[in-house]
Order: sequence, then structure tokens, then C-alpha cells
Amino acid sequence: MRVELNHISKSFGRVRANQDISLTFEGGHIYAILGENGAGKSTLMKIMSGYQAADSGEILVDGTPVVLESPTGAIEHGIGMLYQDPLDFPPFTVLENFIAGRPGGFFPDRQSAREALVALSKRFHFDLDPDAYIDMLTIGERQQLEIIRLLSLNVRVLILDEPTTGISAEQKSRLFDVLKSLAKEDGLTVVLVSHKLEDVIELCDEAVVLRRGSYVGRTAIPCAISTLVELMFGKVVDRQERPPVEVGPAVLAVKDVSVVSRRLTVDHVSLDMRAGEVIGLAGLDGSGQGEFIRACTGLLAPQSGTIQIAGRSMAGKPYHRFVQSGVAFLPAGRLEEGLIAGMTLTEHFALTLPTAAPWVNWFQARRATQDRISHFNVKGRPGSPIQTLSGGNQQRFALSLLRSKLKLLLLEHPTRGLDVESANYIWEQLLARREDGTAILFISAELDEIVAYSDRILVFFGGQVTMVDDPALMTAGHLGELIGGRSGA
Amino acid sequence: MSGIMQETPTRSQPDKVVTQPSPTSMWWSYLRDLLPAVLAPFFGIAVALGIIVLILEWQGASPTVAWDYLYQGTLADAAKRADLVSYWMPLAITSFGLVLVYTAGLWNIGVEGQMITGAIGATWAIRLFAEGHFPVDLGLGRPVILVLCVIFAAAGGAAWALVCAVLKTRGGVNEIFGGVALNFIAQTFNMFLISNGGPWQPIGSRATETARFPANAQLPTFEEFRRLSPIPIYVAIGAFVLVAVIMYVSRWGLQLRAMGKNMRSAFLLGVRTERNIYLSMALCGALAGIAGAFRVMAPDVNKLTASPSGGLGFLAILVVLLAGLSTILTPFVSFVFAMLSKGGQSIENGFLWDHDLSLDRSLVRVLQSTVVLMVVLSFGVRNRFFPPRQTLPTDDTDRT
Repeated sequence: MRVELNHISKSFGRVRANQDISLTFEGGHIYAILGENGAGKSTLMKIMSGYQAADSGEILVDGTPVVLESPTGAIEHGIGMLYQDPLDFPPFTVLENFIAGRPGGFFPDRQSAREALVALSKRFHFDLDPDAYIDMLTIGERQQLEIIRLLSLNVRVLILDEPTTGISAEQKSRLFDVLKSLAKEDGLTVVLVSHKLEDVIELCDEAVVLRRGSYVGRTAIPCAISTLVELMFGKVVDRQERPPVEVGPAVLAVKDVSVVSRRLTVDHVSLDMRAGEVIGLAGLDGSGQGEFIRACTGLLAPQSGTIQIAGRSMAGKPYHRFVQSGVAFLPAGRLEEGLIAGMTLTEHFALTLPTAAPWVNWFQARRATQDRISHFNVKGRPGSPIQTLSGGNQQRFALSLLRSKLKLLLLEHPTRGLDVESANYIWEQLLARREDGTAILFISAELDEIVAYSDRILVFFGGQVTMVDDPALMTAGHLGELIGGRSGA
Repeated sequence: MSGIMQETPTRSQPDKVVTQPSPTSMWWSYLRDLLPAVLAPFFGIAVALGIIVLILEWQGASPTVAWDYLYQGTLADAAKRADLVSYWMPLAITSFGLVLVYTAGLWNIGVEGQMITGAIGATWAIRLFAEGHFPVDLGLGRPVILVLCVIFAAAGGAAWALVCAVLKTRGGVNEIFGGVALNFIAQTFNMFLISNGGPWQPIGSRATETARFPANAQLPTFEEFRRLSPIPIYVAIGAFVLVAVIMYVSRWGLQLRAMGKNMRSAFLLGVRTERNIYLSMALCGALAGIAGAFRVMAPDVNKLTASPSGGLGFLAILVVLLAGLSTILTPFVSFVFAMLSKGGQSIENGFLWDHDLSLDRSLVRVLQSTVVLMVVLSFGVRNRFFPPRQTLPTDDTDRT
């Protein structure tokens, strides 16, 4: 079946998630939708699967315009989506889940449903017991059930969101076989949303790349991973020659740290940082860099390993002890976990002032805030509520709140959402802090930024890390391969 | 993940230049915000009175007679006014405590139970030091015993609030659910103490209450009003000053406000949120406990009863919410509620005995609720049609 998306646009508030995207998906092909976090691929797939409506543009199925009002409506038009977390009811059996969501009367026909289920599982060599309970199944098996359920509803376009996360290698190869046979033998259209470039190259015929809400290009597969990386990240400027940094004493020593989170395990990471060093953490979103940086601030307790700040053992200590030892953390969500919407600049300043006095000298706080505002070039007044400032000014103000003598500064996406000028200004301020012996560890989704500012680069993929400390290797091609999962190539 | 929402658009947009407004327009904009805020509750009360008149007319009762009962029961003579003050003070003290925790974003529903444990604590102090249950007779004088009562009451309320706080921080139990459960436990424990041969019920008595407190454990009263004690008034004034200083002057008050607006950001900006949760809950619990003690030590009560709080804790929650968490407004709003409550009792009596008003007693609750509903509604109307400036666009984008 052929699906055409014509001039699809979708905005959330001021954010344009999809801007005038036109794509065609032919039957019998397997497509990959690629893009960094925030590129708009999930939004586009949600529009295509009827989960949300586009602001403008139209969807054509086999040449006829359709209006998809809900996922059910999309399934009636033959478009079904497999979500990252299987949408099933764990207390029910496989058969009951299979029946749920199927059209039918008040009394479902269990017998024919059971026959359909068994027949479909047999065809794809899925080992699904109709009477097993969902909570006993692996993610891979639940995915198989979901595929069968969609196929039994005569879905002709199958969208899969990150289907290989959390399933075994064996389940993955079976899934790929099934998808290939569905496309080649049954003529289905398969659309895969994935971060894993290796999977994409193994499975897909064609890759479509989105960046910041817009379509940037498509390429036939097979192709080199570096081609995909270049499409995803844009042209990465090669590293400029820089004077070597003078590094001081060790500030951060991470040894064999493992962090376990719901999605993945960051496995045995070791890192030594010296004063004045800048280290960038590269990797696709959710590869473990966020967990690692939070472990270095005491926000996540590591499962094992040691963390030393300036020679003192800190693993397992609470966040405020890290702060007392001269660590500062600037999270990505400025208004979610960095600043406080509804409070003024002066109130922020008074809140973060490191003084023991039990009262606030508002007169003094106001004056000092005014000083910071002019020093950091923040466009706002001491009495402005923080949320009325633009993103760049919020970030500059957040930087101005940091203490002057820091040992270690950890940043998540320090220039996300800022224009070039603001981003440069932020980096000027950050690099100036190295003079005071501050080491900087930062996460960024922009390879450009990582290549330009890092002395060393730590690449994360699926919780595993590779250290790149040779400037000659800091190229888009090499980093891209590491980010995409090629170890040490 | 958050923070994605600002990705694309700001990249190309230049920062907006903040223009300096002229002084007159600043005054006008303050007025524009202030007037609806002040007028809204009055408007709500006016609408509520209109509806009440309609209800009473429909039921064939005379609104003027009902109003007369309300007035007679609260403000008509000095004795009634003294009773009103005696009711108002514990309500105000509890409300001041709640201002702290609600500002910090902690929905301390458990305040009712904290009042009860405070009342139990005070009664325990009286039993120990005034009724001679303490192993050694200390021969304490009345002032010392009263101070001990207040301390025990504060400790009882604070301990109960801390249980709720620890359940929240360490057990992951939301303070609302923990509070409801702890209210129930406190109430049940109180009944255990004083009913069916409970340890604090006087032997031979079948009333669910303790014996009357001995004279050296009774609060002093005014010469001319034997049912009003000056002590709760002093404590209420003290609590008001304390909470006002915390909220308007102290660094700690600023931290509580930050926590209420965004607990996560406050934590990352260096506020010791967990410690502040314990401190604010304990302080609120202590004030509620003291208020509970004043309820049972009121000159016309002077015994631990089956319902020491009498729903005053829930009333206090309503007070602080309607006062918009403002320390300054809380005394006035709590006065209005004290009047509604006291006057309601008077109207209830009227319903029972007066032929012009012979209505069902439950109608009083309807009338009281109408006032609350209309005031809340008036806030909604204000936010809808006169929104405060500088609100964030609600934008929960998820594009991952």
C-alpha cells in the first residue's frame, strides 16, 4: 500500500515539530526514519498512525485523501503502529489481549480468535501460548503478539518505533526476518523509527532523515554509516587547531562505575579529569550519558565503582555534598529542573546565595542581581519572572547563578535551543571558567559543538563507552560510527 | 525528556528587548491585577447571599429571620463575640501552620489528625503533671503545667506530621493519602482512649470523654468573659508574627516558595528539600497540635472529647486556599469562616425551635457550602477573564 504525506506541519506552542514534510512510502519497501532526539520523527509517526492530527497538510492512502481521527481510524485505513512500549494489558492472557481492540460484538468469538492467533503465530514461527499471561512474557514476545494483532486487523502499513530496544538478539533476527517477508512477500509497507544505524543498514531499503522538524534528505541503503551520520548531523566542521590546555590537578576520578536505570545499564565507566579540561559526552539520546553525568553529581547512586572529587570519595553521597565539594550541575530542562517558573531573577539569586544569614536582604539581592544581569548580558530586569525571558537569556542567567570557583561543572545540552550568537557567548563564559581551574563535562546532541570544544570525547552507545582522545580521530565519520554502535572501528 | 520544547524556534529568533514601562502604566498594571483579586471574593459572597435568599424563600423560610439568627449567634452581644473569638483562634493558628506547608506544595490533609494528637498530648500532660499519674509528685504550679501542655501538644502534632513527611520522602506515599490514613488512626486512637472503658475514661463513666481537667490545668479566663481565655489569642498573634516573618523576610520562606513552585528545580539549585519538608511539616503539625489542645482546654470544654478537632482542620485547609496562601489575608478569611460556622450552629437551633424557620438542619451545611462554592467560582471567573499577567504558555511537548 502506498502512503503519501503532503506538506505535513505540526506545532506545539512555539515549537514547530514538523515543518512542511512531504514523503511517500511505497508498498513492499522497508523505510527507516532517522533523526536526532527532537528531530520530529515521533510526531510525524503519531500523525501517520492517527494518534494526533497535523495542523496542516494531507495524508493520501493509495491516492485517496484520508482523515485519521484516531489510531482505530488509522487501522481501518490499514495503518498500524507498534509503540516502543507494547500497548497491552499485563493482567490478561495473550488471547484476551489479542481479542481486545478487535471489532466484534459484546460477546467475543474466542474460538475463531484463538484459531487466527495460532495460525498467525505458526506462520511467523512465533512461540506464543494463547493462555499465557502477558506479565510472564518478554518484551520481544509482547511485540510479536502486537504485530500479529495488527496483521489480523489487515494492517498494510506497519510503523515500528524503536522495536529493537529491550529484545534479545535472537528475537531481533526473527523480527527482521518477519518484517522482510511481510514487505517482500506480502507487499506491506514497513516504516522503522530507530536510533540504531546498524539495524537500519541491516534491515531497510531506504532511509529518510529529519532534522529539527524538517525533511533533510533520503538515501538508498546499502550506504556507508558516515553518509547517514552526515545527513543526521549536518555538515560537521572539522576540528580547528587549538593551543593545548594547561591542565591542573585531578578533579574527578571515576573508576569502574556502573549505573542501572530502567532502560539500560551504564557499564563499568572509568574517567579521570583534570582541572581546566573539557570533555564532551557524545551519543544518541538515551545511550547512558545522562545517567553517567547524574551519577557524577550524586543524583543517581552508582551500582558499583568509585567516584572521587578532588581526591575525596563521593560515591553514594547526596547531591548537596557534591555541591559543597565544588560541583555544579546545569540540567537540560531549564524551566523544568534548572530554574523556577514564577519566581523573579532576584528571588533566584537570593535563593542560591551561599550565605548563612537566615533572612534575605532584598535591597542587596536586587543590587547584586542587577550587577550579574549587566555582567552576563542578560536581557531582563531583577523583577522579571524568569519564564518571561527568552531561552538564551534564561541560560545566561542560569550560568550567572553558578559560584565563581567551581572544581567541576557538568552541563546537559548547554546551548540547546539557542541561536548561534547566544551559544557562542555561553561557550565564551564556560571556557573562561577554565582559568579558575574548572573542569567541564558536557552532553550535547550537536556533534559540531562536541568536536569544537572538547579536549577529549567520551562516546556512549547502549551504555558502553569509548574514549576518543586523539584529536586526529575527532572527525564526524569516526565519531558517527562510534555513536551508531561500531566499536573501535 | 524536557527542554526539547525550545529547540527550533528560538534558534532563529532574536532575544526580545524588554522595554522600560512608564511609572503610570506600572501603577495601572498593578491596579489591573489587584482590583479583580480583591473584588472577586466579595463578588462571590454577594452571589452566594443571593442564592441563599432564593433557597430560603423557596423553602418558605424568611431570610431575614435566618440572618437574624446568624447575627444573634455571632456578633449580637459581648458573650457571643467572646465565643466567636474562642472558636476563631484555634482555626487561625492551624491556618497559619498550613500556610507554610501549602506554600511548599505539601498538601497536608493530615492536619485534622495532627490537631487530635495535639489534644491527646495536652491531655496526657495534664494527666501526668496535674492529675498525679506521673510516678513522682513534682508539685508543679499552674503556669508550668500549662506550658507543659502546650509543649506536649506541639510535640504530638509535630510527631504525627513527621510520620506523614517520612512516609512521603522515604516511603513514596503521597502526603494526601498518608494524611487521610493518619487522620483515621488518630481519631480511632482517641476513641480507644476515652470510650468503652478505655484507659482515660473515668471509672464508672459511660460518656466518651475524660474527666474534667483539674483547676490547676485550666486556662485562665477574662474577668468579664468566663468562656474566653486570653492565652490562645496571644499564641495566635505569636503564630501570625512567626509565619509572617518566615514567609516575608526569611530565606527559609523563600526556599519554601521555591519548593512549592518547582520541587525539582529548588533541589538542584541547592535547597535542602527533604530537610525542609520535615521542618515545615513539623512546624505546621506543632501549630495544629497546639490549636487542638486549645480546643479541648477551652474554658467551656476542659476535657478530651470524642471529636477534639470538630472538623476545624479541614476548615483551615479551606481558609488557606481561599486566602490564596497569603499570611496577611488568613486572619480575615478564618474570621469569616468562624462566623459562618458559629452562625450556622445558631441557625441550626433556629431550624429546630423557630416556626418561621422550621427547616431541616442539614440545610445549614448547604448554605455554608454555597458560600465556599461561590467564592471558589469567583476565583475561577477572575482567572478566566482577568488572568494575572506573565503566565507561561502551557506547552507539554513530547517529541522524543
